[in-house]
Amino acid sequence: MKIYDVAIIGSGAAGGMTGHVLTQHGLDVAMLDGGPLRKPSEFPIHRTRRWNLPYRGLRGDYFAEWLNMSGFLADDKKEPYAASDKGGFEWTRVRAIGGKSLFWAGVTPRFGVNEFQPKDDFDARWPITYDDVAPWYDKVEDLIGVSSTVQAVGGFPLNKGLPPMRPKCAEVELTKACESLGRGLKVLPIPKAILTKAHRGRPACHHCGPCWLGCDSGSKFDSLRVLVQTAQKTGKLTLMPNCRVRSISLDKEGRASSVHYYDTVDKQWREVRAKVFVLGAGCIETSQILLNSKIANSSGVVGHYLSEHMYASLGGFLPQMMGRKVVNEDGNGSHIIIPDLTENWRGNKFIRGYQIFPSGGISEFTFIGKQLAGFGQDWKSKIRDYYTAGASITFQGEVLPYKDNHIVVDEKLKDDAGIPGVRFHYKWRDNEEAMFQDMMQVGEEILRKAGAEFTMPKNPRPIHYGHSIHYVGTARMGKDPKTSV
Amino acid sequence: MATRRLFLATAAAWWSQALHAAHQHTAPANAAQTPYLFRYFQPRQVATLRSIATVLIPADERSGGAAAARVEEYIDFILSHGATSLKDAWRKGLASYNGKSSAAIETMLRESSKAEFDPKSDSEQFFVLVKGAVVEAFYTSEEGINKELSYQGMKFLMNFEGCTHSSHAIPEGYKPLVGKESA
Repeated sequence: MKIYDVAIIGSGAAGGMTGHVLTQHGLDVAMLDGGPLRKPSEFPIHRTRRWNLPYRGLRGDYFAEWLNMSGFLADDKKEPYAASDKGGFEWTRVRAIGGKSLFWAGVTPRFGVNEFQPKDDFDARWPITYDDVAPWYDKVEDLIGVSSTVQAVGGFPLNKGLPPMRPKCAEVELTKACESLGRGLKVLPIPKAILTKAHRGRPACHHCGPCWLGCDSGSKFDSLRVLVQTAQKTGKLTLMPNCRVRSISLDKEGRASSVHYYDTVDKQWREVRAKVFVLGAGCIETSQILLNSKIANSSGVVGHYLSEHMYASLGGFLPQMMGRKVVNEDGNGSHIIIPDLTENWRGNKFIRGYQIFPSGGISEFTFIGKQLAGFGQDWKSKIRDYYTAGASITFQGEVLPYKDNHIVVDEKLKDDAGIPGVRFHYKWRDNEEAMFQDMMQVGEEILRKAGAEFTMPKNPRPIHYGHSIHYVGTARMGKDPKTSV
Repeated sequence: MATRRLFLATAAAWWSQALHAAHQHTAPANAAQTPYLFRYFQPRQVATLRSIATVLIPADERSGGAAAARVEEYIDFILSHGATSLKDAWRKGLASYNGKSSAAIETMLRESSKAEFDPKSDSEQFFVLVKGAVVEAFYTSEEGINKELSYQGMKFLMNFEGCTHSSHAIPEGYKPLVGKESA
C-alpha cells in the first residue's frame, strides 16, 4: 500500500492551506474530506430566489434553507449530534471540498495584540504573540487577497491590504454616530477576503449580494479555488472526496500510521497510510476524530474549552435615509467594522470584548409593515419610505474559554456508518451575560445618537448557541503538555 | 449507434435532474409552473383569506398586491406545520369574515386594527395574526420584492461607488412612526 508523505483530513481553510503549502514544497499529499467535489456553478447563489423556497429562507439560520436545498450541509438524520444543556447547540457542517470556507461572509480582521495576550489573568497565555504571527498574516493576506483597514488603531493592527471597501450611505451616518459617542469607538473599512481589484488571477468582486451562498466568480476567498485547485496543479495532491474519517490508528512504535475512513459513495471502509497526519476537519470534527481515535489526549483536554462568537443585534430606521430612490446597495454586505480594541470604555463589568458591525441601507426585503400601524395604500407608501432607511448594529463577542464547555463522542449517536457522533455541553456564564447587556446599551446609544427610530426588544437575548459557526477551542495549544493538546 | 447512446445519456440526465428537482422542491410554496395544493385551508377559507389580504395589500400601479403574490399559499404552507392552537385561531378568525363583502371586510379590519399594538379581543388578536402573515408572505414574494419595493440588488455591478453624497437630509414633514403606538 502506498505511504503518502502527509495525509490531511479536511479541505477547508486549514486543510486546504496545509495542502497548498506542502504540495508547493514537493510533498506527496493525500487530502480526505467527507464531502463531494462540487462545482462553483452548483453554489445556490444566482440559482434561485427567496420566493422559490418553501420557507422563503426564513426558517432556521439565514443560509440554512438555501444550503440544504442544494445539498451542501450534512444530513443531521444520517449524521446525528445532540446537545445536553438547555440552550442546545446548532451545529453547521458543510459537506463539500472547501468546507465552510465556501459559504463564509469573508470578514478577515487580524487578531489584535491584546487578543493574543489578554491583559486579564482568566486563563493560561497562548504560547505565541502577535509579533510571531504577523509575517504569516502578511503572507496569507497576499495569497487570498484582503481589503485594507487603512490604519492601525490601538492594539488592532493594519493589514496588508487591497483597496478598502467604500462605505454605504447608512454606514456613513452610523460612522458619524459611533465616533461622536465619546466612547472611543473607531470605525474602519472592513477587512474582507473579497477582492476589491483583480488579484492573483482572480477577478474583482461583482457585488451580486449574498456572499454566504458561495462566490461563483472566485472573488471571495474559498479553499476550493485558491488552495485545493492550486495544489492539484502541482500533481502532488491526491484529492479524496466522500471519505468520512472515523479514526487514526498507531503503529507498534506508537506513531500515527493509518487513517480509517468510510467511502460514502460505495459504502466501503478503507484506510490511507502516511508518515504524517494533519487534522483540519474543523474545530469540532477534528476533536471528534481525536476522541474516536483515543489519541493525543494524555492531558484529557481534547474536546474541552469550546468557544465561539456570541452574536447579538439591534435594528432601527434612520430618518435621513427615508424615502430615497431605490438603488442597488448590496455591495458585499457590511463595508465597515468597529474592531475590538476599546478597553477604555468597557469598565469592569466583564473581561475581553466584542467587535461591532454597524450596517444599513436598502436590502432585499423588509418586515417594517408589522411595526407600522394600519394597512392599505397609505401604509404601503410608508413601508416604501422606511424600506430605504434600515440600520442595524450587530455584535460579535468573545465567549470565554471554559473547560466545562466541551464536546464528547457518544456511542448512542452513531452515524449511518457507525461512527460515534458529537454531544455538546455548552453555555454562557456571567461574563457573557454582562457583555451582552453592555452590547445592548452601546447599540441603543449608537442608534439614539444617529437619530434612529427603533423599539428596544422587551426581553433581548443573544442569538442561539452555535449561530456564529466560528467554533474554536477543543484542541487548545499551550506550553504545558498537562493542560494542552 | 452513437446518436442512440447520446439520446439515452440525455434522457438519463433529464431523469436525474427531474428527480433532483423533486427532491429539492418537495413543497414549493409559490411555484408558478404548478398549481399549489392547499394542505390546511378549505376552499372557502382560501377565498376569505384572499379577500382580507386584498384589502390589507391592494393592487396599485406598482404591483398586483397580495392577490397577485398569492399570499394564501405561503400562509397555508407555514400554517400546515403549525400547532393546533394556531390553526384554531386562524379557523375562528377566518370564519368571522366568511362571506362578507369587501367593504364589510375593510370596516371590520379598521375596527380590529385600532388596538393593533395592544390587542385584547379575539378579533384584535386575529388582525395582528393575519396582518403579520400577509406582510411576511407579500414582502418575500417576487411581487413584493421586485415590483412593490423595486429592489435593485442581486445583479452584477462591477463598480460599487459607496456613498457619494455630501450629506443626507431628513425628508420634509418627517414624523416618527415606529414604536409610537406601542410606547
